[in-house]
Amino acid sequence: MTNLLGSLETARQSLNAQRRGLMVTGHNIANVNTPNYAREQVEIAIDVRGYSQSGSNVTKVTQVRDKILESRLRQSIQDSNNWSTQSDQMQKIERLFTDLDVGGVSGAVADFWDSWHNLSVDPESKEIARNVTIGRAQDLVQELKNVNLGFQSLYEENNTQIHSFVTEVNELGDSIAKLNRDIAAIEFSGEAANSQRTVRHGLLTKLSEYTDFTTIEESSGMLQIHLGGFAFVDGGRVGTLVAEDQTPSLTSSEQPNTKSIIYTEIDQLVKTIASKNQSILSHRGTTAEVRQIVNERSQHENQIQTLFNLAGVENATISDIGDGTGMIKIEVDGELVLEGTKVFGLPDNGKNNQTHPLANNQKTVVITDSRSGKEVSIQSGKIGGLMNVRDNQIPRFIERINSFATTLMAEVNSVHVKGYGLDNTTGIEFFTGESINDMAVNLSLVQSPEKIGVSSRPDEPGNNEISFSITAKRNEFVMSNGTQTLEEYYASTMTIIGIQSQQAQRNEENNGLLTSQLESFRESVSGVSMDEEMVNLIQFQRAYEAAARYISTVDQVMQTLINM
Amino acid sequence: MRVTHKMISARTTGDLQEGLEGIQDAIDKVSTGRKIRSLSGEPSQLLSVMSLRKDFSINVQHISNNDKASFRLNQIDSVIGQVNDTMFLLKQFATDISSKIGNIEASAELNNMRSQFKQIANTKILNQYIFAGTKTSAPAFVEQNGKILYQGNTEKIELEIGPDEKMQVNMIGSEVFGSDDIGLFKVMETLSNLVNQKDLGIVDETTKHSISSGQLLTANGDLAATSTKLTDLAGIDVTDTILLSGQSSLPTGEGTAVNRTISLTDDLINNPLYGDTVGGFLQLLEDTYGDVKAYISSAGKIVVSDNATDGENSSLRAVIEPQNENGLLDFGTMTHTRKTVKVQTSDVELKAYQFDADGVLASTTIAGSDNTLAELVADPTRQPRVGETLTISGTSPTGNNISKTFAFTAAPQTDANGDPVADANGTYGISIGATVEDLLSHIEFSFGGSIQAKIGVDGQLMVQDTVAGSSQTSIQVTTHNEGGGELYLGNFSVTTKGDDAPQELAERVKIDTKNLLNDLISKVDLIATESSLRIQSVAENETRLTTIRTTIEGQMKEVEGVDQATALTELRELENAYRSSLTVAGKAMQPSLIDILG
Repeated sequence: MTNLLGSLETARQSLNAQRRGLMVTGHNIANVNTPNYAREQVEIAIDVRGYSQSGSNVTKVTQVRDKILESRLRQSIQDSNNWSTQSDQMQKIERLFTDLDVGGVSGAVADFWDSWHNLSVDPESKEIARNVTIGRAQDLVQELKNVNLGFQSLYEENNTQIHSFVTEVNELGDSIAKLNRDIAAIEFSGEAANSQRTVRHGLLTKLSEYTDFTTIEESSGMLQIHLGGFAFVDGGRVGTLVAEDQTPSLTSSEQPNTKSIIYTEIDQLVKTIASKNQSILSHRGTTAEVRQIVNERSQHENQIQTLFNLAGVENATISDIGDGTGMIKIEVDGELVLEGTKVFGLPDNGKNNQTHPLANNQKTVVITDSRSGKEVSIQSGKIGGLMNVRDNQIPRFIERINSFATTLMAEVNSVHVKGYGLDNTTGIEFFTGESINDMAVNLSLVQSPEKIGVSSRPDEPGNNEISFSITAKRNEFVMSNGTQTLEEYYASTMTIIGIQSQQAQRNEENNGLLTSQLESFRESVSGVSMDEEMVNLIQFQRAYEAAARYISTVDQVMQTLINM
Repeated sequence: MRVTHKMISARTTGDLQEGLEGIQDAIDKVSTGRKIRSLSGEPSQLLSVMSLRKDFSINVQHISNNDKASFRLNQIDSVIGQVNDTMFLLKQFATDISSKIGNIEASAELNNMRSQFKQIANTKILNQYIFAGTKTSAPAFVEQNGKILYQGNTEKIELEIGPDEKMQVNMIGSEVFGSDDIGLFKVMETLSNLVNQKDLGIVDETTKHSISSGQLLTANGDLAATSTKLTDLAGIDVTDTILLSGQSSLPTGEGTAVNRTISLTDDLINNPLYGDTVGGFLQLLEDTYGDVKAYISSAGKIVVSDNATDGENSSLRAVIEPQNENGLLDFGTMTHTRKTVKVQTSDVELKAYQFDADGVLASTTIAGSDNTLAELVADPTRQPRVGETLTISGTSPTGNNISKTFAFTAAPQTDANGDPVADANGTYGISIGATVEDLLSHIEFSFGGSIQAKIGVDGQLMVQDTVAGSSQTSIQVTTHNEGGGELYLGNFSVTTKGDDAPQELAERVKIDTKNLLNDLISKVDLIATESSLRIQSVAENETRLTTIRTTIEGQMKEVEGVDQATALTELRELENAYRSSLTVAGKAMQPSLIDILG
């Protein structure tokens, strides 16, 4: 049924619809720069509730979204944050190595070797050359410690950051759960919870920065978030992640420790003594010649005794085998190491007892689910990136730097203990300490540099043979099972860091590119175009004007009718 | 695709950011001049970079070591030069030593040279005594009880001047100046003792005797003889004791300390082993001092002389001191000198002449024991022939007449010991190819082993008795040259070695000194040559190291360095790109519909 009043109703609805259109357009314009905002569209349809030509009606206001694209974008943000965090961390690690700019450890090592060279030129020096060597050694120790401390504080810093990120993740979880409840309530009443969804979408994007997760949207509009194997947000409920301090469980070094190098030295000396025993046994010359061999052997005996002391081997005895041949035997804890010309070798105990240099003084943060207490494994996002660097990169490089330091200490010590100082001091270590953490130049040498063993024999201040043997260590293949020199090993450590960092940077770049592409796609779908909105504005304005005109026309018609 | 303004602005911001990053990187490159500025910059190059840096640092160190080695070697070279010069002065000084005995000026001159040598030997370069081996903190030569003795050792000091290349930069004092017992300072000590007429002290090392300064006299004032009864000696009291001390001659070269007090009554007069004569006392001395002969010399002095041959090390030092608890026995103090040995020396300094295949003289050298007798003849056509003979004759040390004739044969007869066997005429054979050594052994054979024959450093034949005590040795070696040969070995005359007579000693010392100095000078020459070679090698090494340095620097530039032209061009390109981005951004931000609608 159509009548004039009906026409007015149609006009009213039309005015309503155009006004909604104007409102939505205004809303869109207002949110043109709001992050994560998805433009809204009014859906205007013919009003089918009454008679025909009953006008139009706004059926709903929808958000223009591509959920698959958004899910891909979130994934990409996770990866992108993961790699940018790793890249940042690796670049921080890179900056610990100042070698390319100001020398760093490699410069200090070179200076250290050079100082031994200079000592070989001036072995009688009581002050200058010796103090320079001490100074260079201390510089080197300091450089190594700086790198080590840099790694350690990076490790700590990572843990602290993980702590605060976990708090943020928990807060995000809370907010999302709350929004879940709001959305469900609003949408249950038939309204569109567009704004809440937009906010929730923003929070999810924010969450993607920290961690990897998957989402499932329920029919109620609520979201489930699964994170590292556990349901973090389940509708309106939210779990709590707990960051706990634990002692890191790290595998011990495969590199030989200081002691095992001394053991190798002892093994060699035992063989030398065995060969001297053989010479004594088979000698057919004069007594004086035999005496000479015995003298040489007793020097080796003194050296081996010193090495036993260094290695902390107690109960080592050297004695005549008592068969009248003049040969000797060596026993450790009652077990034969050498008897005459027979070499049995050293017992194995105590050869490898190195702990990881991180294990003693660091805690690591482990994330657990507060309800089950189980560990939550986070692979991506900022937290994933931090954990990856903390667990896979830092310990490995600390270990390498530590191996470098301990091998250097042991190699230098193994030669230095054989040296004689200007005051004939002998048998002392140049470096003290078990690992990079407590590495130091022997305090007694710092206090009295004349004790530095440069000479291979007592009372020979001009003898520089020990300084040669020490500088010779520079070119010896003492690292990586005898395939690398100390400096090569250090350079490969730098290379590995460089490669890892480069890889992280490339991944960061690639993922960043992918993210911005996806963002661009998302913007293309959901972004507000001012031009479009302006057109819409005019379109709705004009339609509104027309509807108003229609009313005035109907009004005039009605006026005409009344006046008849 | 639907495009919004936000997309454009995001894209433009990104592009501008990227452009700025590029520009920053390029500026960094240009300003640092380095291609690799972070570990992740070019990780694959890091190993090369670090390895080149290491090579460079090692090279720099080697260059520095090489400089220091060069400095020291040059210093050492100039010191060696001084040593050489001073040694020549000393040699000149020693040439006419006989005329300088007792000369105060000569003594002062010698003293000067001595302190000069001491100063040179204790030269310090950069805190090191260069002649002390590795004991470089203390002077190499130190004065002890009037002797200058070597305190260093014989260890080398080396510097590393290249990969696996070391250079010795010190000198061993005992090599340059000779060891304590035969070295320069010992020679100077001997010369000084000679000039200052002091005990030469040579006796410490060679065959010697201990001799009393006074005579052993009887109560009548006669010289005592072996048969003289002890009780007849002047000033003797049989209750007295005599202290025997010093060093025995056995074992040879080492000796043992002697310290024995004998009682005249118990050990001699009442002891049937020795009895109451001076002879018994002498016998007791022989038994006490080992392999010695004790006798009363023709001058009445008590002599204890070892039985060793000349030149053999001996430690003998007999000190016989009457304690005279009651008596006044006195034969003066004991002095220890080298034993007097008579040496027969020929007056010809034999030379060896070598001819080439054409019979032309190729070289002449001082004859040694290896040379053949034929080589001792200057005319190759007049060398000894088969059938010619020579006679060795003379008196043995014990006074027996010796005369043996040797005929040159192709293959002489010898007995199982290799000694010559005489034919029916009593003539022995000597090989036509015999050497000087063979001749010497024939002379010794002729004298029944009671003499020692040798050839001196100047080519003179010398014969010396091997028996202690007074010797009656004389010798002639006469070559008969029946076949027209020209072999001549000279006439022998006697000289006495080990006599205290200053002039003769001087002569002997002169020869010894000359030989020792010659040895030392030739050694110093050798050392000087070695030193020059080292300097040369160090100089060559420097060139080599510098070349290596240039190469490494080049490689470092290539790996690490930036080509500035390329870098600047790159920077310019990036700037242009950035400018374009800005322009494009300006355009993209052109007014939207809002502006048009007003």
